[in-house]
Amino acid sequence: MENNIEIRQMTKTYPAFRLDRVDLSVPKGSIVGLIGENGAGKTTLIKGMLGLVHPEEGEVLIFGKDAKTSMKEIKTNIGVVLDGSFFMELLKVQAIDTVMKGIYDKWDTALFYDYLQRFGIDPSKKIKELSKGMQKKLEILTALSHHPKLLILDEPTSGLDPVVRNEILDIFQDFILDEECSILLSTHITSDLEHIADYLAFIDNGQMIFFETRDKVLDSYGILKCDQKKFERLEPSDVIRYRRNRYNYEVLVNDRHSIRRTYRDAVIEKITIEDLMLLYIKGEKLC
Amino acid sequence: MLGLIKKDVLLLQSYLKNLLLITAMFSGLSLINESYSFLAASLPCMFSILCFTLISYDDYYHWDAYSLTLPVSPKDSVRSKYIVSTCLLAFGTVLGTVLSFVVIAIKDISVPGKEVFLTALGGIFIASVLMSLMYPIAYRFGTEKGRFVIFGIFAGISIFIVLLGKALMTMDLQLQSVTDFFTGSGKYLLIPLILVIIFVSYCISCSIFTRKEY
Repeated sequence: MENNIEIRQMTKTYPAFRLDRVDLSVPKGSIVGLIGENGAGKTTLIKGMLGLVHPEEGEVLIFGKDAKTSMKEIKTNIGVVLDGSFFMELLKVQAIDTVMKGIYDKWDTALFYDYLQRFGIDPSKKIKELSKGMQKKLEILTALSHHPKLLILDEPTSGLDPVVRNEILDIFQDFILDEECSILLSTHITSDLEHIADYLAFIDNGQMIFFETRDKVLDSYGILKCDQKKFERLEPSDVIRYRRNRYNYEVLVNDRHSIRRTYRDAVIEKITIEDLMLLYIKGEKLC
Repeated sequence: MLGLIKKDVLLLQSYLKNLLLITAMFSGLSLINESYSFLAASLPCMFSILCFTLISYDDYYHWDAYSLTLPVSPKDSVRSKYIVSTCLLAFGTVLGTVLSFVVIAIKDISVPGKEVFLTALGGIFIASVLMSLMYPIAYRFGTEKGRFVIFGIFAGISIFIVLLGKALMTMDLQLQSVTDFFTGSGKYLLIPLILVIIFVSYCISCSIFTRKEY
């Protein structure tokens, strides 16, 4: 399986934070969801691969090319949506076409206007006259209008209502129909990833906790619910994280089918990505 | 890079009405005050200051970060700004010079063309210094902090000029000889000096922009 992105051992140190030797792959034809709480290092990782910050260590290969030496060439095939940076709101929507024609050789004006029509965006309007949802759609369709092979999206659906989010997720699924294309999607809205991600990369406190297929994560991890007595009988190695509630314990376990065989009377529930994140981040570790 | 230039031109279009209004006001002032070559110096400065507006927009909308996700190098980003600013400066100079001659024609007086051109050259010099200072400072400190740094630098330059004037008087040097130099053969030195200042500023800006993180 070939990868569109390969990050090896990326390290970036700030006074109060360190992205610590992070590896990540984005296979062709897949959507990789990057999850983690605010400040976990998701945006730093994305910025590091795009050259917006300069990691001290590590290697970034995009389309098999070294990002340090071939960045300009690589970027001709990437569409990026960053959280909070885009065209000036004073400009009209149609100005994006004028500008991008002078930047991308493969910019497709017909496709851009086709997208505008599809999403009901008036090209003669100023960007500031569009709603937040429309602006987000505009950012995404701008990233798509030069036929990129890779989309890198940082919080593309944050602050959007479910209808708009669904429209945007449909665009991503259409995009991924071409098996040469991939999406790296960083988001807090984990329910979106349950629908569309093929892989999940969980980053916490600057470290990659896991990189697994979505199906494996949702099938393998589970929440064991038990009282204190049963909790005390659990093997420490079976407890990834736990949370003590008023009446019971919630324990994050891996390989829940095997755990079910070991603790036959235990209640083990399937996990959502949100629960997994919450327990991992907020839960306690057994010493 | 052409796209980056187009973006700045489109942004400036939204400023067109204001620019025309200010130009009309300056022209009126020139007529009233009978300072016929005033426009030739003030318009290059006014137009070059627009580059600060462009950087402010870039800053506010985090355009620099966005531009780095596009297939343009950091040097392309900086170069496009210097090209736009130089074009603005050239446009301001031409407009200012032409308007100066128009004012002279309206007033129907005899002012040597040389005086207008020399004043325009002075305007170009000041505008180039302004622009050459503004870009590296704005890239290094951002537009908010950058404004204060620029005020500080101009305060420093003003104090230096006052002290220099006093020193020249103490040394019993005739100021006239200095001005004679710059209106004589010295004026030819201004053009290479302007080019050197802009080039050095461009190199510093490229170095800052390439190392900058977002």
